Amino acid sequence: MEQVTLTEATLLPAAGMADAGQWKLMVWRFRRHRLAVVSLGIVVLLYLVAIFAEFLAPYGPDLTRPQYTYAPPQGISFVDHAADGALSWNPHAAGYDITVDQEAMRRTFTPNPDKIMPLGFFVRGEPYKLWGLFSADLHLIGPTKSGEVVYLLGSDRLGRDVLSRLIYGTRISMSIGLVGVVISLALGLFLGGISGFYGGIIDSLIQRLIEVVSAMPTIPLWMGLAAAIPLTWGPIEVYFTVTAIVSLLGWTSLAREVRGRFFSLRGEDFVTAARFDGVGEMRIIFRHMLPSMTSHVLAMVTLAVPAMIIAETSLSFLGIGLKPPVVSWGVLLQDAQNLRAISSAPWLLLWPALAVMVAVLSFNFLGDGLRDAADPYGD
Amino acid sequence: MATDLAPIISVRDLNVEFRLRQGIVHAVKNVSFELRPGRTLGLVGESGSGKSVTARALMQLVDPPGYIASGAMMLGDTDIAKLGRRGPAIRALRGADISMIFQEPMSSLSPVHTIGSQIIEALRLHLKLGHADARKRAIELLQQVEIADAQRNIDRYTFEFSGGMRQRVMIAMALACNPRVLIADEPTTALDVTTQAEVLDLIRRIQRERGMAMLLITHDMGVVAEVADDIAVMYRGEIVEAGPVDQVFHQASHHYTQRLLSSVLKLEGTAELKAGPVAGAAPILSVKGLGKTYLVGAGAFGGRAKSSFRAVNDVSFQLGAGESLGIVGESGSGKTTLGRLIMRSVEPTDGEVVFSPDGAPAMDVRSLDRAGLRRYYEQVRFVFQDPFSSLNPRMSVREIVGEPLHVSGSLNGRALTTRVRELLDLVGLDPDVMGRYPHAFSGGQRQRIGIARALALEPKILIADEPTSALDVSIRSQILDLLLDLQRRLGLSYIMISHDIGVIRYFCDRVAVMRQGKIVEIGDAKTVCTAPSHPYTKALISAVPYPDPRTPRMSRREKYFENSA
Repeated sequence: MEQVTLTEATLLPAAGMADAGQWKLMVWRFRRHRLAVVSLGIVVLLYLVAIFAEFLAPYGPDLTRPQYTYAPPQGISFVDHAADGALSWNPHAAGYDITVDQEAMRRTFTPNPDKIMPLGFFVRGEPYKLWGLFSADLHLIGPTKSGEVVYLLGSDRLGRDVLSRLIYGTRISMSIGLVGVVISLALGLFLGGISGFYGGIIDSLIQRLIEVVSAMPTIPLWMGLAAAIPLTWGPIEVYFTVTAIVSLLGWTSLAREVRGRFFSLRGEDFVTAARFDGVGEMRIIFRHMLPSMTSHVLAMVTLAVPAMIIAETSLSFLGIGLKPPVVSWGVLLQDAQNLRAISSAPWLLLWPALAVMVAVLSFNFLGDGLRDAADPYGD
Repeated sequence: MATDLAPIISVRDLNVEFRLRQGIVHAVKNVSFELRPGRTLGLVGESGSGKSVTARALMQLVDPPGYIASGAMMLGDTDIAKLGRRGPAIRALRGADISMIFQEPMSSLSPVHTIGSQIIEALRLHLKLGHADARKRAIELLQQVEIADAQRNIDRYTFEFSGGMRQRVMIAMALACNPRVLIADEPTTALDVTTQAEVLDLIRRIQRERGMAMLLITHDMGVVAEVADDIAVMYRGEIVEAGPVDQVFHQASHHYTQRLLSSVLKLEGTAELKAGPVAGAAPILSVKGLGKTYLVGAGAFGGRAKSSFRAVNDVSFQLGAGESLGIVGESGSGKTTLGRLIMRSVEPTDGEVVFSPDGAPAMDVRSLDRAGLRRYYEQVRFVFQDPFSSLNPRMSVREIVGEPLHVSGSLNGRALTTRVRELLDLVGLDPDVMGRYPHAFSGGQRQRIGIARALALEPKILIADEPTSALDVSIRSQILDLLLDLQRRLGLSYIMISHDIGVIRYFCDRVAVMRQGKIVEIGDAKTVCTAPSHPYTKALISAVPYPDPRTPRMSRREKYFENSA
């Protein structure tokens, strides 16, 4: 033993790593990927926004105010300049004067530095039911004087608050991705798994199915399937049908990856060793092979979510996915389809598009980080 | 002695460091040596000793995070250490003044270019030859490295060549620009012994003819003894001993060198621990006419096979209780497949395997159903070659060693933990490490874990497939001694599959020599290793380099040709 410690000691990892299981090692490796850690923070933040939408949004998503159509975003500042130059803590939004052009029937908003709207945190406002369960009227931010209206990110053609709609849209857009991925994951794991584990004729059949599915042109197929949704269905039914449609096409790449992992694991010595230990087939799959894949599957899922978000957004934008009154990022972008809206209210395009980009990029970076960390024994 | 010749390269106080997250690792520490024309310096050491990094530093090929921290490498008036990793200066030097032969001939040659075009490229870049001249020169080079029919072979691709031929092509490429220094990094490690002997012969002959200086890096003391003029022994980044080959082998002063040599020489003899088979013991495993045919070219749609290939052909032998049987052969001889056939992880196509343990009914292994096979696996166990891939990295040592116990349902909970402790103790590991994961262990320690797993169910037979070939030589004999000790204590029988004659001679009572799927010779290990009767065995054994520069064996080796059988 003396020689073993002498000649091989240099190759041993640091002492603390010895007892670390795969998850601990993965966390260590993941932390080295800065961008992924930041992205993880953003993703968590987005989901918190989705969960507490009612509380975070200043208003309900459908609250219309005809007198404030296309109101521009109001700037916020936290301190007040008093006449003598002293600064005092007073969060407020910039105010404006509204003039109505009777001929064009258009409102113009001109900023008025003398007018301010004091804002407060945890203010009482419009009543809502949190998660449809608890009645409340507390909002994170809002004007302290009741009756005043503030549009931090502007308003749309019906005078609805874009910020509120964006926050409610986060809930739908971020969750439709998850639901879709769960369905794809179930299909992909199941079909890819049996394809990879059994091989042979079953494998050939499933692979041909995958090829046929991935050869289908997606947009026409989406349009066809979406057209089949009866108009009488409520928004929730439509929501689930769209999810199902998107995920029925999304499982193929997952299935291929799972199959590849199974194939390569089947040839590993430690799987043969398990067989020689007398381990049964089910235990080999679940105890010996699957743990080597969970981390990869996690990474695959994270990379699949943004694809689902993009799919939802494009479908809704084209008017064949979600439809109003459901609020999602795609639906919000629908409002930005005509040139007039963009020229007079660019914020209608800007904010939802930014939300989609931030979400998709964060998921992609997060997925990259997870993929790099997924195999802590790789090198 | 040719030491009066001026050195071509002199290395002074070379330091190479790697900047890692855990801190700076000093891979090479204050290394100094000289390469003289016509002489070969053998740089030896075990894995991780820094010998390859030193060689790469000579060509400025150390990849980040590694860097040359200090020191000088003088080639004439040029200090290579100051040239930097990129730029025309170092590129002009690589290949032209110093060239390198790598270990893996397959991965260091491009598979999408013909061998000719790869040599011609080097010639045109460095010597600025025209295409026709370069081609003529390339053919000459191939002839020099003894590639038959060079005119035709120059237009072939690397995958059309065998491993030995590829290494010859590599050598031809390295020689293309008449370098003054040749660095050979484990040039024959991936090759079979008979091929190794030929390639070493070739390298040595060319080096002498051209008066090149050579740096030979190897872990194999036998190869150094046969080829090198001087030796430098590396240990943990430092050269601990250097001198003429005879002096180092016979008057080693550093204790590491002494220990290294003694563990090498130990494997030249027979184990003292060997118990020897119980006289008149009944055979515990008998193999009759075992064979495996692979069908080649059977299509995905069940088309007829174009041809068939016999991986194992009509193999018969008996393993006595308490005996160690060696199966030796070169790559492709079918020895690994034979082990898998006995374990039925590859289904045999013909023949029979009968397992007849003492005091229990005999089992016809080929007709066992799933439950029967499980009982068979409890008594016949397997030790894998690769200590890294054979242990699931996601299971702790306790789970790995306990898995067979858990699955057989014989033990669980605290009793299982106690048994795992016993097993780890038995294989010489500290039982308190069982909460750790395999990545915390070295190769030798992992192999011990693998052995503990194999012993968990108190087996009768252990089939070990090259259990020591991935290990350093000093650890190799420790693992073999462990297996012998276990044999004495537990009454085990072994089938030891190996390409290494030393391991077989050290470990086995009887040996079967395999070639092209057939057993060509079987008999007492000592007799086969010292006085073989089959010409193939003679060629095989005489090709093994002997770790003593005073008795070179390879140069007097016998050669085996197909028709001489």
